Amino acid sequence: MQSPLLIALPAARPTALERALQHCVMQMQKSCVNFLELGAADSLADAQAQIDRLNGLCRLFGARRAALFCVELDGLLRALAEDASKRTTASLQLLASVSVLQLAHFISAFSLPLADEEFDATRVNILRVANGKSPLPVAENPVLVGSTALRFPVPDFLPCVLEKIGNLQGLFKTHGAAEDEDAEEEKFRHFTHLASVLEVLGMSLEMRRPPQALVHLQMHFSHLRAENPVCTPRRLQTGSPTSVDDCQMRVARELVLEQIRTRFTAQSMPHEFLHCSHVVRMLAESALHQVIADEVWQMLDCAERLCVHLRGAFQSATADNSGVHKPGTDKGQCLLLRISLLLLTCLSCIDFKADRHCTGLVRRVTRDCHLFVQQQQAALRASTIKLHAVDAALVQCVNAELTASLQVLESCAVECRSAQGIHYISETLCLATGRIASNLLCAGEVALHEIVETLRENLTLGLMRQQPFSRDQLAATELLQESLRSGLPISQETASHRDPSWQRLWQKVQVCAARMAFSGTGQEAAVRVEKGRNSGAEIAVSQVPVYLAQNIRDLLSAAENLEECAMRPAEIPALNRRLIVELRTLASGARALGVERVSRLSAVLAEVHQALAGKVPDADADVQTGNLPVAMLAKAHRRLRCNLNQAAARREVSNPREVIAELYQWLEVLPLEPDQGFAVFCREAEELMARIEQNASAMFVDHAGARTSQPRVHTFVNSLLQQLHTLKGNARLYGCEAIAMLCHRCETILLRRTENVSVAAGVGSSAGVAETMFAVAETDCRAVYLSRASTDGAEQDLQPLLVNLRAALDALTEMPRRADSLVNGSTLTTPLASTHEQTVTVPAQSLKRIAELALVARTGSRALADVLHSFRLSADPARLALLNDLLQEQERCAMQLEEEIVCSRMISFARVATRLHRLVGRHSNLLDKQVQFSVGNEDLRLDRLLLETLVAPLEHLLRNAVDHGIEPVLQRRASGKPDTGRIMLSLTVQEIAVHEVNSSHQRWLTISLRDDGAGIDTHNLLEQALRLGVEVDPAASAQERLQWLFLSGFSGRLHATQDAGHGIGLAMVRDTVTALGGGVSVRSTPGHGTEFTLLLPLMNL
Amino acid sequence: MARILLITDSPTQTLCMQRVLHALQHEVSARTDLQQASQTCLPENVDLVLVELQTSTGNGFEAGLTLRNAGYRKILLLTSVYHDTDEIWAQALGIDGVTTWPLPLERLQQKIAQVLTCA
Repeated sequence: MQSPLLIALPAARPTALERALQHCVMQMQKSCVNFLELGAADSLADAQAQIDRLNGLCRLFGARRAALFCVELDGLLRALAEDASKRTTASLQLLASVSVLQLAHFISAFSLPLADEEFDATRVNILRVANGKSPLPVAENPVLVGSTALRFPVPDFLPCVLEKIGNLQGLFKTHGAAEDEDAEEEKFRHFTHLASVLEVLGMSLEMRRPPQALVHLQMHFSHLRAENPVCTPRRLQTGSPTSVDDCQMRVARELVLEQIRTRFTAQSMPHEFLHCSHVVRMLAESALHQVIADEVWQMLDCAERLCVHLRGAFQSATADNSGVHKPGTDKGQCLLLRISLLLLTCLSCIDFKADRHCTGLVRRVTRDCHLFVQQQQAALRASTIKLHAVDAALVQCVNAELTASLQVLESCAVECRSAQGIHYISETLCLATGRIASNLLCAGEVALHEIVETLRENLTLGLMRQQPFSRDQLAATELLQESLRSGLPISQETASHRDPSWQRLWQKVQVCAARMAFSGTGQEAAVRVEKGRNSGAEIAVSQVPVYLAQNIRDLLSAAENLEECAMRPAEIPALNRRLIVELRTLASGARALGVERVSRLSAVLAEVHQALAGKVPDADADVQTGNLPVAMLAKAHRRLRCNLNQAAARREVSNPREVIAELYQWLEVLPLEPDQGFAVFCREAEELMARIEQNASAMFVDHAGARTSQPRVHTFVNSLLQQLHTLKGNARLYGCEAIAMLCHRCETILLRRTENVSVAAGVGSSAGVAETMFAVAETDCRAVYLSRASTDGAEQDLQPLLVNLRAALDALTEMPRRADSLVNGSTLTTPLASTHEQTVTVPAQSLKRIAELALVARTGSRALADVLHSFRLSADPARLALLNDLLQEQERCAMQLEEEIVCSRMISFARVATRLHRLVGRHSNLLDKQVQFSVGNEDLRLDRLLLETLVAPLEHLLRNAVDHGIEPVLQRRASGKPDTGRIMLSLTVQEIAVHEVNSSHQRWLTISLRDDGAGIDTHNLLEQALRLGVEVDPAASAQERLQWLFLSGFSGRLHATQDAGHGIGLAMVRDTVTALGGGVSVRSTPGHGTEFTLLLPLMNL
Repeated sequence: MARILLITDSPTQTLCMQRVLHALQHEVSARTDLQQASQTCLPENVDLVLVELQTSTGNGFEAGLTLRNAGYRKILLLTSVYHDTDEIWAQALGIDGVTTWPLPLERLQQKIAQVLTCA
């Protein structure tokens, strides 16, 4: 045993007193330093108060020298305060701060009375001299008094306080009402000492009724004493210990043995012990996570639970005779002792601060537990064999199952070794390992069970976090196979844990566990679980399962009520609100746990419920039931519950992709507000279709007349392509597959045309640099020829398709439009041919205010007219004043009206952000990627028209980012990125000087869209450009090449898919932004991500 | 003395539990999967169902829920690895409890009695 270890031992947890003391000392130090530096009066007062307290404590525990020291220090501080020149004297300052440090050091000493004996009288004397007093005589040979040498303040504290209380009570009894001055003074002295102790403890002594208060206090402290036998070990018997170290050792040993007597009765029951070791392991994990979260209390709870568990285990061990075997050998005792010592150290470490050191300790505990189990193997084995009545039949059964599981393991390992790429931990593997573990336990091989169980736990954790199958784990699995092969068939008579392969396996398993713990903390370091009710609270990650489970209970019952509730619409709003809260909590909790799939599903479900809440006001009951998608919600909730069950049973969570897709579809189709979701799509589709028809007819007419020049046909085709592309994207987003298909076919036809043209261009450009001019001319000729040839075919195909598209769109928009006309008596959509459609949707509130203002203005003008009329009759000065007032009022009204109207044109970006969030969620779900999308400066208010125009380009850029930017999970892992890709959209408004001379400023809006995906490979761009026949400069730099992306018909993709790769989208983005007077740029670092920046001028309002 | 239905797909576990439960003087019928169990053993003939949490075909929580919905009154989950959350989760699902196995006879008997007596 080493003393540093033991010194930390005696108090498994610091008492409230110790904490208060530490706080007190800290406060004293702080105030003193503050005072010395600044000379502030309040910090001096604070420091003096703290020193007074410490003085009282020192007296209480009989540390006279320290008390004297306190008095002198107080005097010194006072002297410094009185004379400012003294305060700034370096030597005095130094003396004061050193003294403060000495006092602090003294207070935190192991044993206060001992420390007092040690306390050098010369220290007091130095202070006394500084204060201008005569030094005290110093004793030559300080005598150590061993009998009082006890740890301060834990063991002696309670009896001391009780003694003090007893003294005071005695004083009150004898001199109840007497006016004896000495007695009064003594009483007061005792009283102040007691009060200082109580103050440190955070208790107050009621001064008005001291006798009653004292009785209460006495009861309280005696109760504490009875409850806390650990804190009051028997005093040391022997007279005078020879040295301090020895004395400390003895005290410590005494305390440790006391602890062990109460907690570990050196008896153990095998199965309970296994569970104990499991709890210790959990403790280790939480200790690791403790590095992240500050909640010490949860850790303490955990530790306490452990203690309770241990106590229970040992109590039952003494009471129960059935499966118990005493660890007979001395070796076992030693091990148990070591375990308990380590455990206690851990607990005290955890108490102060959890760190890696503590985790290491806990890991050692676990290892020792395992060793213990191994040592007790024979006994445990015998008990289990007796318990299960193990006989030949059972052993045969076990062997059969082990062989079967071994085969499963083998096939898993073979699969992992043969195929390329990253392998995930499979459920089959976990199950097989679990099967082996439980079978070993059945047959009584407890030690082997412990080893395999640890491996299984490790694998299961990996499965839950969807981690790849690591090399260590693979090696461990192979070792397990080897051990099993050599160990099989196990027999009833001989234990097989002596085999060296099992030892190797155990070492490997420990390596795996260490790795797992390490990987766990790295990823979860930033975890912040939002509690539903008090948001932002941090929860230690290890606590999340318990926390979740408690929350989910409500959720599940609520969801089960859903179908019943559909019958009783009045209850729906309340249920809905609760569900939103619970689901959001679940989503963040599950993310913290790393169960991404549950998190995704619950997040979408929460959004659906949110939408329901927003849509359905509490009043109209009939509408609610009609609109409530009960079947879908029930299905989703069932799926969620199923997934949660899988997670709870530590199984692989199945992918809820289809359900999420369905929910998103519902969300998008849901006509939330007139300016959101489907309605917007309908309006935009209508607008787009009108433009498409216009362009198409122009093209056909031109072609028929054969009067058009080639560039003009180009523009038509390009704009047509862009419009079709946008329409297709939107249609797919809102689940209108038919329209998307039609658009796609139109596009293909048009593209076939342009491809022909490009081929021609490609041939032309390869003809040689010298003949460029000629080649261009030639290309033109050929292109015209080719395009004419192809348009003949295209036209025939295109026209019926466009007619179909029109019909589909009409069918789509018919319903809402009819509904609108029923409600409003007019159609929502104005003629759509113009580029900037001027529809503005005004919130009802604002409209109301505008109407009110207009009314005020009208009455005002009427009054004005009246006054003017009367003015004509008689020119009265009073009327003139009235006229003036009225005019002012009118002006104010007009200004307000203008403001209101301007405001109604400005909307927050957040309204668009919802739409973008959904787009990302839905799109990433379609592609099965994990994406986190965040919008910075969401509350920025922008002109409505500008925003509406920007939505399409932004959506396109986002789709691109999810499609091409963010890589699949496997690829991300391979390049060392976190599983979840991040897309960030940030908005900033800047003022940039336009003319330096007249200092006029223009406000610019910068929208930047960043992703941490694969980036764009600029090397491929040139090949791509040559392949597609887009005219580019081959000598362009990487940055210049990136700009090619915005060229019409250029695509970075080798193969075009339905969604992307046609080279239309980014061209559309550029066109839209330039039409608004802005510009777009792109930056990209291959392997690290891409950033698109849109720069747009803002109108000054 | 209770009529117990045991659902697990591990022969070893079946054998072990049967022995232990017989020793505690219970009447045991063992089934390997959920469907078979609910078809052959009607809820009214069963006092308690013991379900293994980790089976190769599904998980015990789902099975417990299905059983509860099928009308079985008392359900106890069996697991060889106990997690603190299991108990809470089981309660959340309306399952009567989770118990570890193997367990000393008295403790198991206690647990069974506790589940059977609680309302």
